Amino acid sequence: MKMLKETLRKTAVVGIPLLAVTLIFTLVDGGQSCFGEVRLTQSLSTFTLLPILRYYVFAAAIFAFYGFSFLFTRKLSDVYHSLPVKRSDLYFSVTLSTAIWMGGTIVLNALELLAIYLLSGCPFVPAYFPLSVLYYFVASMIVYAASAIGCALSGTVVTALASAGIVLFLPRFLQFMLARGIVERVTIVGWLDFGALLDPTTNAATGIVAEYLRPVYASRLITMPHILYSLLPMLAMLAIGYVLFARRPSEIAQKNGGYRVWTVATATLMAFTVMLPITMNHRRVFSVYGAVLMLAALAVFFVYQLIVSSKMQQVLKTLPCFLIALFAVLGVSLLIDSAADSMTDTAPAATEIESVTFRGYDEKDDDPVYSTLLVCDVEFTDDETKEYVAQALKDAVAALKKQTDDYDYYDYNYNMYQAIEPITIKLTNGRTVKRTIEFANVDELNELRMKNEAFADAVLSYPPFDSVQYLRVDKSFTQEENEAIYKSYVAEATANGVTSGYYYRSRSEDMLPDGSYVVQGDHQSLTSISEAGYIGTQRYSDYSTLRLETPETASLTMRIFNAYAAENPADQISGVIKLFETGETARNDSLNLNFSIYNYPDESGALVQEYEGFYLSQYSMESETNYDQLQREYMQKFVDAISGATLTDDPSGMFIQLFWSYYDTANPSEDGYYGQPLAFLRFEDPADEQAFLDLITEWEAKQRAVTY
Amino acid sequence: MIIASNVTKRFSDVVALDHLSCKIPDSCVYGLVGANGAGKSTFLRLASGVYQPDEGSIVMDQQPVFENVGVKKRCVFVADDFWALPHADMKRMADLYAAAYENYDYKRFQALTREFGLPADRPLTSFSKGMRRQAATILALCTGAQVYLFDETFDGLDPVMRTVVKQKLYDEVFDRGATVIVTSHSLRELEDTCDQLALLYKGGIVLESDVGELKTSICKMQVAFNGEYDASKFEGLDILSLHKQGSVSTLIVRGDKAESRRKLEAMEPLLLEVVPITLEEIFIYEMEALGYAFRKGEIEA
Repeated sequence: MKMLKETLRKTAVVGIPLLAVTLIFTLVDGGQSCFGEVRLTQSLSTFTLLPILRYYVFAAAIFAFYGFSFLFTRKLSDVYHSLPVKRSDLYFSVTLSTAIWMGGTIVLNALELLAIYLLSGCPFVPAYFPLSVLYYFVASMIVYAASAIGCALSGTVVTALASAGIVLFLPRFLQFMLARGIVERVTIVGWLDFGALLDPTTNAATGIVAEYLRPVYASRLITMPHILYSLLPMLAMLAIGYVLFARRPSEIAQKNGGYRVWTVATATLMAFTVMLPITMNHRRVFSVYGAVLMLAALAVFFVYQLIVSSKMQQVLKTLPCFLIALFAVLGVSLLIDSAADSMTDTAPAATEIESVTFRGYDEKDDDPVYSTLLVCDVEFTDDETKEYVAQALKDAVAALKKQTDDYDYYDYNYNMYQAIEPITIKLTNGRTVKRTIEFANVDELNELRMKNEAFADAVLSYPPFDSVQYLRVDKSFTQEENEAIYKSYVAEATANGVTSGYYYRSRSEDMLPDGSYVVQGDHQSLTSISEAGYIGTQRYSDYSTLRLETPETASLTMRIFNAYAAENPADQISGVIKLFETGETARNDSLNLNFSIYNYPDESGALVQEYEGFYLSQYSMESETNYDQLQREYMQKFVDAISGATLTDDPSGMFIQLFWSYYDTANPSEDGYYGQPLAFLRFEDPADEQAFLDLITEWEAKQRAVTY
Repeated sequence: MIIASNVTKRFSDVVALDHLSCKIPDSCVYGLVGANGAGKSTFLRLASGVYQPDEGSIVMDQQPVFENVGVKKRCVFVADDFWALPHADMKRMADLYAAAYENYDYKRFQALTREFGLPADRPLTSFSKGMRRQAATILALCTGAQVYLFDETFDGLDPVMRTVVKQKLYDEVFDRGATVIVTSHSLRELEDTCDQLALLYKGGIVLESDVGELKTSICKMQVAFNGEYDASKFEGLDILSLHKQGSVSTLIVRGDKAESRRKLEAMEPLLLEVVPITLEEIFIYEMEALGYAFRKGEIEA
């Protein structure tokens, strides 16, 4: 206990500054996130909760190296080893003091951020805090344990660092390269299709590094299974560290050589690590890439040993070990080839399939849509789906096998109907096959899937209201207004069988006049509803487009928008235009005016949403270009035209959504937002409506004719 | 009692201690003398449990020292170059020792720092080499250990401070019955300090003796006789060494000094004189007698 207190005091030199730095960072970062305007819409996973801790976990190495610093100087080593303290007490005093500093800092950061979230009212998932604390603590102790092993194996900081790096990263780097090699070769296998052993995110400490390389893992990184999975290596490494420390001859302190065998082993493993990327494609051994890696590995092998032993002759004798590293790399490459071939050849027939699960098109996202949380649990056992999936997989495998060389990747033929989704296939023989494959026609796929009642229910489901933490239609709306619109939408959409997300709606190729595709119903949309929340520990984030297919909600929304709008916005806009004309505006002032005309009959007679926009500034006022002159003229005409319209909450027939903003440098907005509330207008007199339609036709004709 | 039995310690290809055996009694000042690389420091590190012997054993009161906290609590090791924690002052180091030695005497620590005139709250890095050694000695004396292992501690101390430190060690031996093991490469440094001296040479103890006994058991005499004579003339005397130059011979005689003188006087020499002999000379002659060939100064680094 006394030695623990003593070590705590010693390591306070490291612990206190790091604690202060992390707390300040969390305060600033958390404050910006939670008190800033963007806070409500930010994507949030456990991983993004306490960003500083991602870096802080690696500070465990500093604690280890500082705590065990006496091992690297003979005099220090002598003093410590002469003290009447058992080696186990020395080891565990450093271990426990590291655990206390690391754990304490992690907990305090989490508590600080929790306080910020609570004070700001920022939405969060409560379970993320204990998960983060546990995860970062386990990750820290793995980093510490690897460092402790490095220290116990070595006599100097250089060799200890190299050893710690190998212990911490090599097993996971090898695992990562195996997965990487397979993904490179079998492009229908995604990173999340691997089991735990090849999943680079499972190990707490190295998963953080993997996330830096592949940001898609963020949402999957900090989970209880990963924490539990990492506990075992953590405890094993701590135990190995102890055994090595207890058996460590104190006389190797300050000796570069330390254990000679371990020095050579370290150099060999370092060379192996440097050459491992060759395995991504073994043919690259015979390329410039392969040659460069091998030379780099050879340099590392030599330089490290020369730094450590400084005897060239001794180093030359160890050259066969480099060849061992090279052959090991080739062995790994062959192993990957074999695994890749096996995975490529797996294309089960429909009769061999027990069930199919679609894991959700956005399963990799931090905050997937709510329906994904339900869809991923739906199993398809019907023959039609099994045959459809089996065929899709066969097609994907066939396309993959067409590859003529390693650079000819499986070519996804992207078009509006194409969909790439992760699937899980359970075979009748008990095996599970996970793949990420292309489906040629998402409409066809959705039509098939919607026959499954559970799937259709999942797609048409909306999050339980008590799980919604963030809800917004418009920034100017009150929470009650947002809730009223959301509840109305859910009720109406559920009754009408309307799905909120775009993904499960059918594509419509010729919906817009310009021929561009749009998801069905999206050709006329009023606004959107954003909601986010969590189920268990899983966040979701939905973005529902409010379309005319839910007219009651559209009407309610128009009514609420209009309540914020001026009775006659045309007068206000005319007033601003006059300011520009009389030169009373500043150089950088500007006016944006946008009209959305709903149920506008296009040339084919289809009712679409038509957009017209105008921009005015001192520069455009002074501009003599034809277009600016035309814009000035027609802007006023449009404003004059809508002066005869009145506010409406009726979404049927032709109506106009007016949005305008005046950027007034003399009266800066506090939040930087200059937009005026939306206003929905309608012409009560059909003659006025026709005049407005004629004006649009005229304006568009003039635009086409204008020369710039 | 500390007993080393056939202790061997190797560092790679170098044999630092080669089947060393010795017995160090309680309540004495035991000196270990030897040139650099003789194995003095290695022996102290083995005796203090820093190193583990490759062969043989080293026990204190019949218990092994290595990883034996009970035994290690009774001894304290002071290395040749005292190391301190980064930026630490003496108080900080006292706390470190107190964490390991449960009976650490803070009152004595304060008294000794005052007596030695050392600033206890100044970083040890600002101390001179001599001050650091004093600090190390103070810190060790406060542990309440029974066995003190000092590695060349007196080197670097000025004569006044050396006397003070020696006195403190004597006090420990006389008042508390402590044992002090001290190494030096200088025999002169230890000859007036130790009760027992051992000479380390190439990893082994080649001579171990009680200092008082050593000094009284050997004497150096110069005699001259008329006419030719040789070594046979001195039959009956235990002659360790004889150097004859003309009619004058210098004799190193083992045995009682008065008895030896009486025997020589009986031979009616022209000249008979007892000349002073240093401990180093005694060592050299004893070593010669054992078959080792030392020259004066060789047993000092």
